[in-house]
Amino acid sequence: MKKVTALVPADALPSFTASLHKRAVLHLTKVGEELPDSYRPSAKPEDGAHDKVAKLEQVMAFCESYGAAKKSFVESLVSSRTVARTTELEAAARRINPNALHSEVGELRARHDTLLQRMASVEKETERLRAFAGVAVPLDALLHLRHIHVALVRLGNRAQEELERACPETIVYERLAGDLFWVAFPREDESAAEAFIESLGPAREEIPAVESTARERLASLAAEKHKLLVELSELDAECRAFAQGGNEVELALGYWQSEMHRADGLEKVLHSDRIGVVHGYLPAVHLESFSRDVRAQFGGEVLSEDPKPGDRVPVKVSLRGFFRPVRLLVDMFGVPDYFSIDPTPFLTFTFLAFFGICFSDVVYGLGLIALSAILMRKFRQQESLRYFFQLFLYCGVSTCVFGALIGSWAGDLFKYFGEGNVLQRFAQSLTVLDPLSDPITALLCAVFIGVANQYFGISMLIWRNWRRGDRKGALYDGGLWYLYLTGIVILCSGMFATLPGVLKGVGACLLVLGAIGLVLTQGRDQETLAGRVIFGVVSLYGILGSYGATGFVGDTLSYTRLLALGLTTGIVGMSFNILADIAAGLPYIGLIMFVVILIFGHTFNFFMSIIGSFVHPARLILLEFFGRFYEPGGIRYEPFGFRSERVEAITGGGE
Amino acid sequence: MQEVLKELLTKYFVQGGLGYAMIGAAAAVSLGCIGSARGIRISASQAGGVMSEKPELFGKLLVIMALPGTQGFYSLICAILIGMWSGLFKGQVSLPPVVGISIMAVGIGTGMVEWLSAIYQGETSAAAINLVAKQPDASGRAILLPALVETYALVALLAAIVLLLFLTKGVVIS
Repeated sequence: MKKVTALVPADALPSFTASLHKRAVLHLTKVGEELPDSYRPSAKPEDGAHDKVAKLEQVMAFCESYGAAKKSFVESLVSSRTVARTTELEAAARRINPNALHSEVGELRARHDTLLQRMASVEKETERLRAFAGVAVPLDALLHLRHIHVALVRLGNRAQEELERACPETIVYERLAGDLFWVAFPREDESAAEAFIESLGPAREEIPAVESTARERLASLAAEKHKLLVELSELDAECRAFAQGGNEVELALGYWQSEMHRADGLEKVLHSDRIGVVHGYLPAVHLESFSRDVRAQFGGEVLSEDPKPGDRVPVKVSLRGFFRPVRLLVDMFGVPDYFSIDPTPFLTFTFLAFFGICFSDVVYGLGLIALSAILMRKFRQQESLRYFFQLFLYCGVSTCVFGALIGSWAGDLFKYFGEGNVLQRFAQSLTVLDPLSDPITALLCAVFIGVANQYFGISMLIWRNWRRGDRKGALYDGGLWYLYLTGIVILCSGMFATLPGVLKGVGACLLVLGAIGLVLTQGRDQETLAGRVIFGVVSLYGILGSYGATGFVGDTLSYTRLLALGLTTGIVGMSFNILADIAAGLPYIGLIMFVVILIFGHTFNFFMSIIGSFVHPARLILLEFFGRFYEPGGIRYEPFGFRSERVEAITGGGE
Repeated sequence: MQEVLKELLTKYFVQGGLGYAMIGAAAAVSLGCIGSARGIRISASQAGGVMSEKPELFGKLLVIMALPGTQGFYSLICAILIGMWSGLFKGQVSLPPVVGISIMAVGIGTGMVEWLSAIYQGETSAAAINLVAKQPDASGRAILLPALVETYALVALLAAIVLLLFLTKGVVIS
């Protein structure tokens, strides 16, 4: 990257920024505060872009709730954007009127809400009147009796007993439903009756003021409910028809999102009455042509320099074809710092090996290769999905290799085709280690892989520091840990195997030398001698400093999950083989059941195991490996050009 | 039936301690796996809530969600080691009852730590998921928070390995 400042005449600024937007190579940053106050931000080309985006996002959310632009399960795995030509985007933006659509959505939503409110009201009244269905007279009439007062009360169990036991003769009552009671008494005895009822502690209920009988009202409510359901269904169809235009709305939204970002970007461009100033970062490869165009087309000048440590330099990661799909893993963690290193090529083979060990089955590997190839072809237009499946294609190859090495072919399926069959002999000829019969060796292999990968991480740290010119950092935070940890590894090996005395001596020497070096260097940033020594001693354990013995042991043991996952895939596959073999003994349908159980069982195991086989190796990379050297926190390179969260634009308008 | 049962109990719990070792292995793996399941339930529920608003964070949340699953693997490793070093997988073995009881204690103790640490890690993962929801660029730092809890699950596994090595040193597998 090059840090550039372009100076152009103020009157050429609009055409210059338009040209910048079209070229999409410069990552704009704010011009430094050293410019005088007479410099002000450039005018926005489209002041309404933010408003249009806000409105179209609401319209889009409405369309999506009715099924428009719905992503398939596969598409939802990776955040992918709709791909469209720039001419399609411009055409959609011309056709779509955000204000009109937003109003239309508002109206549809309001109608929907009104219908739902009416429906809720009908259902509530229906529920209330259901208890009065047996009352033959209009309910309203009960409220206006001249001599009798009728009330409705809810009584608890104890109050009901009290009512039965001590009800005065002037009060009559009848259970209406559940704990709901009619109570009636002469109006002339109202005060005494009310006092008695009050003593029961009832919850008063109002008698519905319905002019007809409850049954008649319920019938009319049912009719109203039916009518509302029809209206809701019609409105639903109307909304679905509206949502059909969701794809075009999405394109218009993409266009306006880009215009919004363009307006935001132009706020970083300052100009006085005579000069326009544009500041940003440019990939070095574009510098020459950019400078030439600024001079020739706009009569300006370009100042450039190399970024310095401390600059917030955007990061553009350019990877060759093979490594590009693995970028997905690094993106899960965050963009690397500009002055750090891109770890993608260095984690590619370890990740693929870890995946292969966890999934480790030749048949599953072949299945994964076939499935990935099909999906890569299907989603060839969507870059992120294509790379996602390309990564799984690599994983499939790795799965085949490790499956062959541990002798897993759909579990132990080859054993069911007769003793000593060709497939069995072929599988056994490739097998190096059977983790089921020798789990301790497999476990030690997993631990060895852990140690090796931790050493690899330390090597990356040494390289990173060396590149930066931090030779002391490379030696103290990397080289000394090599000595110390190698000493630990050798001495710990003595717990599992008998070591020659010389080797033990070498281990002890390395441990002591490394420890002394670390104690003397890990606290080098501390001000006092005591502080340096204490920091150094504590860093050996691992709370402070760049690494630690506990961190090393913990990270290494974490790799034992490779064995656990590999065993799980194999054992579950073998279990389905046993089930299929049992079913094969059934009369008439035995062969069919054998095939069905095999297909169902192994498909199930394939999809269940693939999740763990991806997640746990990813974790080993992101946590245990990256923890040694990786510095995230970089800014993604986002050139001033077309930019939308929803749409990926491709140039051109031809078919 | 009663006779067979009596014979088995005598063989595995009185004359030898293999039965206790089996209980220890079973306790380790079952407690650890229950803990992992609960831990992942906690973190995945939180991630589900976040993804309902921000589905694009799926990639960044996937590993944080799965972190509490580790304890299940550690407990499985512990169970395998118990099985291997006590001679459980190899048939006839001379494991004294007192050693069997000690192995059982190691299995139960390790299982308890794995169980509880998985739940605590699930809670910390949920907090880390909240952090990523508000600051997606902080996913690298967020993943380290729950990993700190896991340290103690590892310490338990390490202690189990050392103790099992010590306890099974004199075991003769025939």
